[in-house]
Amino acid sequence: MGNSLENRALTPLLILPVVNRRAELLRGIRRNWTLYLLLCPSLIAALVFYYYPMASGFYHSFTYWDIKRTVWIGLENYQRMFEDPITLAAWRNMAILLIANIAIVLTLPLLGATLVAHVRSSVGQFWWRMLFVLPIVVPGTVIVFVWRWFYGMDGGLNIVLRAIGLGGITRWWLGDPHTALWGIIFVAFPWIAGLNFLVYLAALQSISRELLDAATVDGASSMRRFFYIELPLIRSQMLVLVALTFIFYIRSFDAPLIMTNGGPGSAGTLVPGLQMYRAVRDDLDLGYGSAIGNVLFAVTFLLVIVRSMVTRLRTGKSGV
Amino acid sequence: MINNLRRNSGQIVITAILAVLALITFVPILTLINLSFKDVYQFGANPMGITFPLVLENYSLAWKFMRDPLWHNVVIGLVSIAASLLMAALTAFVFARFEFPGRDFLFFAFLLILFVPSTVLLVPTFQLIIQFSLQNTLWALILPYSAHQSLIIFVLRSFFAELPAEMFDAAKVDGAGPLQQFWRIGVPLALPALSAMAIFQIWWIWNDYAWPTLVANSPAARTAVSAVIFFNDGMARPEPGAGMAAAVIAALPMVLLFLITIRTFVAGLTAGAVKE
Amino acid sequence: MRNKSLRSVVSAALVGMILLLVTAACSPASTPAPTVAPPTAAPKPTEAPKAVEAPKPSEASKPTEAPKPAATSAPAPTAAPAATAAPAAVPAAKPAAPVATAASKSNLKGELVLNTWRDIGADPNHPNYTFHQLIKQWEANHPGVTVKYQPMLGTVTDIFGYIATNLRSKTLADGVVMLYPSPAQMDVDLQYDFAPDLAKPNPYSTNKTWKEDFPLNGIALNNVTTQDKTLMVSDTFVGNLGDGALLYNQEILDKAGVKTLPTTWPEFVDALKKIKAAGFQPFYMPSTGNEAYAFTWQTGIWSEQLLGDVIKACDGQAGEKADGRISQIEAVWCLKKGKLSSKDMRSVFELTKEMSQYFHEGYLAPPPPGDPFVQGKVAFRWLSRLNVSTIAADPNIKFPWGSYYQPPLKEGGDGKVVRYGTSAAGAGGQYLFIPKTAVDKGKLDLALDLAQYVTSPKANEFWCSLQPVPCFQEGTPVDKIFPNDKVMQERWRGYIQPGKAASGLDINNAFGPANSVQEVKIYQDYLGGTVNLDQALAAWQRLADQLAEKAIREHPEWNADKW
Repeated sequence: MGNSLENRALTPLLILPVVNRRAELLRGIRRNWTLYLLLCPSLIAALVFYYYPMASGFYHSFTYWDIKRTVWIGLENYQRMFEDPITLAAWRNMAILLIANIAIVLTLPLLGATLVAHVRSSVGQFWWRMLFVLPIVVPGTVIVFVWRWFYGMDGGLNIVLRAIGLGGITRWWLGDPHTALWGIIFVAFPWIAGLNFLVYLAALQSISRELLDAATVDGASSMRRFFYIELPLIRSQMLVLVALTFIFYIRSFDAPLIMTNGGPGSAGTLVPGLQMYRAVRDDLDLGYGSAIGNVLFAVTFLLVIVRSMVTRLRTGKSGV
Repeated sequence: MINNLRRNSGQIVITAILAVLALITFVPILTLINLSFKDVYQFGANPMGITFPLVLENYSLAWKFMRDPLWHNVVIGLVSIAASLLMAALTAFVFARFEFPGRDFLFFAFLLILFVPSTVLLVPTFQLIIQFSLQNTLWALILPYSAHQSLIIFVLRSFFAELPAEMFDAAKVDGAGPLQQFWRIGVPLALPALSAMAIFQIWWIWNDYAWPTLVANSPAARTAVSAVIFFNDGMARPEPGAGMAAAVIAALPMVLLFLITIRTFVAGLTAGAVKE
Repeated sequence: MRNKSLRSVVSAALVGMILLLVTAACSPASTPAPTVAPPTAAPKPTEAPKAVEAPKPSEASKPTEAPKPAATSAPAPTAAPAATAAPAAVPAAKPAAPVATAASKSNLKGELVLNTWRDIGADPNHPNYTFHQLIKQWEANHPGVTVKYQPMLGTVTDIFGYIATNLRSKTLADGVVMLYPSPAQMDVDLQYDFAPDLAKPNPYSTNKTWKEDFPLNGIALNNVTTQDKTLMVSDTFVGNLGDGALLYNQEILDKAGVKTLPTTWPEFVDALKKIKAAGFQPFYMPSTGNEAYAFTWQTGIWSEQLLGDVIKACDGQAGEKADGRISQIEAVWCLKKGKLSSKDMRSVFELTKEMSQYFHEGYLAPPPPGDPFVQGKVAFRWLSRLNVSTIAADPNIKFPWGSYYQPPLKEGGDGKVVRYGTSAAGAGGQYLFIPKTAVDKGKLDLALDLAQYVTSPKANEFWCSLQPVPCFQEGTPVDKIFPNDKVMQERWRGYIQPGKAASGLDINNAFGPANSVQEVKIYQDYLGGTVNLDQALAAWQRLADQLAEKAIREHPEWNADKW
């Protein structure tokens, strides 16, 4: 077919490449139909469970939707969301959680990994690593569940406080509006056992020994070695972990759900994800839930765009 | 000599700090186990210490409630991991080793999914499940979990792309189509990566709380972590020790699994991270 | 390598622990729960006090109401009334049920699946068990029919949520047995309407219509009837037995110098003051956790008394009868028209704040495990009548106790206390409704026949006789109901005290327990000092408006825009 096309001397040169390309495309599709077929399962899964829900969620955020019926109500869900003071409280709580957890991920796991990386014997390193990896496998729900007891009026924390003489400050930590959110942040203290620790440790262990030895020979103390050699070399891991932490905490609401169900009161530890979950599970108000979900999506998307723009600017500035 | 002392003291300090941190890390887990052997009175009177007699009835009580949910987890895990790995590996293989129109566009479509927070999908997927009356069945969990493939596709695609072409030449000469190439050559080579991914998936599935509690909150389909909270909060006469026992039962299979497979798990994690 | 051998040691240790667990799991449990207790042949008078057993770890997810003793000498029923002409197993004072007179119904066949309020067949001492016996008897007398239970588990809120969600997604079973129905669980589109059948005779009774089978003019059906459609049926507890009453700890009262139980509100507050001054906790009022229904009841009782004018204005609106009960449509009408608004609730909030000084310490927190009343720490606590047997069976109560009712806020009027819940001259027991999906599946005959049997007069009598407090004529004093049994008299006095039913103009009754949880959170914010009164009232108004709006959307048939 291509031959006959090229032989048509009367064909304008402009149309020639377009027709060629479309024909190429169709030919390519027809030739590779088996490949498309093999892609079908994943494609269907992605369409049914990701793209359709995204579109449906977007559409339904403008409706009143309770399984039985769908009624178009325009921007009313969004209006209600922005007029409700507990929405503000929820976003504020989430911001606090995010910032606190990012600060945590940049410090304590790094500290733990650095300490372990500097254990002289490699067998020792192996066992320390084993020790700190083990708690990862305990499901987060279980950890949160135990900590919920810890924070109770007669829970472990208060018992310890009473034992060391600080009985005066005991309280129901999850019921006091001032301490509830910090209680949730404090779970899994000292935050060393986790994926973050492993990533840091692997990164630190991969720094070549020669580099560090050379620095020691040059007279650098361990502090200087850390700040000027090790830290810069693992910066990319740090950024990755910050990004992962961010993505995780913007959507995770298991801890507030299990520990306080958003309390104390209406919004002591509420986060937008939990607000949405409540709308679905307790109120069967799916339209409102979709609206909250969409706002979360928009915010996440915006931040991703901002971040990629910032990265592009930075690489642009430093040239090449 | 003084240098030696200084270096050794450094090591001692490091070990001391690490020991304290490890102790603090393990206190909650040890407390959990400790509490699971207490009845109501021991629980109230002396939660932090070890009390005798150890109340084993907590475990038999908790087991009665947790037996089915654990089984559900096993079934859900096996089915959805098998399905998702198979689909994802095939997809990754096709993306990696073949050229065809729209390849990059379709791959980007899968990649985009990684940026979507799961909370956005919660409500519409819930409605989808209800529409097909799959609520309170295991399918409500298996189907969405099987669709969770983007990360696997991403990782496996780079793996498959790096395989040298010679491996497939012999098969191509024999006339093997893409499916046979995948099955006979790709899969065996990818088994280590696949097992690492499998462990990731099962960890993620086991840990999921919000979705199963929303959509499968009945005895026919409850999952382990969902059952722990449900059991503990829904008890009539409070038996907090039994609640803790249920939590231990829910955590145990994961602990076992990881102890057996820890090398694969850690290797998979660190390889991925360092490559970044 | 050393690492490998160490790892295998650790793995072996874990396997060992698993084996230990498995053995522990397979060891006989302390409280085997019989799914079907065999009807014992020995008749016992229902007035016998229940045997006291040592508390054992309970079956998982039992209702708050269920007492646990494994083997008890609690009164056991004789043979349940036969659905056909089966002879009673032992001659007893209990009546046998009538024969199924409709011959056409004797060849019913099939399987009937019932969602039940927790496991109604598990505990012979629980009030739900009698209903289970009736169902079992019906099944026994219809050989072609099998009944299967799908229990709904969890907290009260969980169960209501389960019903609401699954009703709408049409995934309920063929019939649903539930307690405490409120307008929030009724949906004319999705539930079968019994009204036409109520106008026809019941094959299991001799009355002209099925409606006449229900004692006291079908009072138990009032709050499950909306727009002339009756969506649920139930046995009727004949007698003015309240859903809740106050338990009091006589020992604390004595120590605090409270000589007699208060009969007026000022006396009540005075008693609380005295108790607090003596160093005890006056009032157990958990605002969260399994017992938080007490908070909702208390504020509901207070709002009932403080909002009398509002109730009068709302009753009988939107096409409903002025019957002293506020249904959901009346409540929504009230809210939409502004007849009920946050400024009416101001006095309720203020009263709650004033009384909160007498609430127990840490009332904003989930209560610790164990019952503070049983532990002798609080003087008064609200208790659902379904839990009384549990408390009575607890051997750790070492003080004399009883029940009585909180005095009304104002003197005069008719002097009757306000009883929260469905108690009036008669209350419903276990309610049964049929989702329309069962009709589509062809199970209507089975379910309807079961409904007609369990609510037939003889079945109602049987049911009545086996309640912890046997049915009585309204107005019978407690010493006639339990002659010569001082303990039972004191225990049940508060529940039998005459009173008038609350109209139900509150979020809990109109919109369901999940939403009353949200309302309680607003109270928590206010009582805990996070928000001031105006903010709390604004939040209440927002919540009420949103719930009203949602209800209107759910019910386009109300034509709310025409109000």
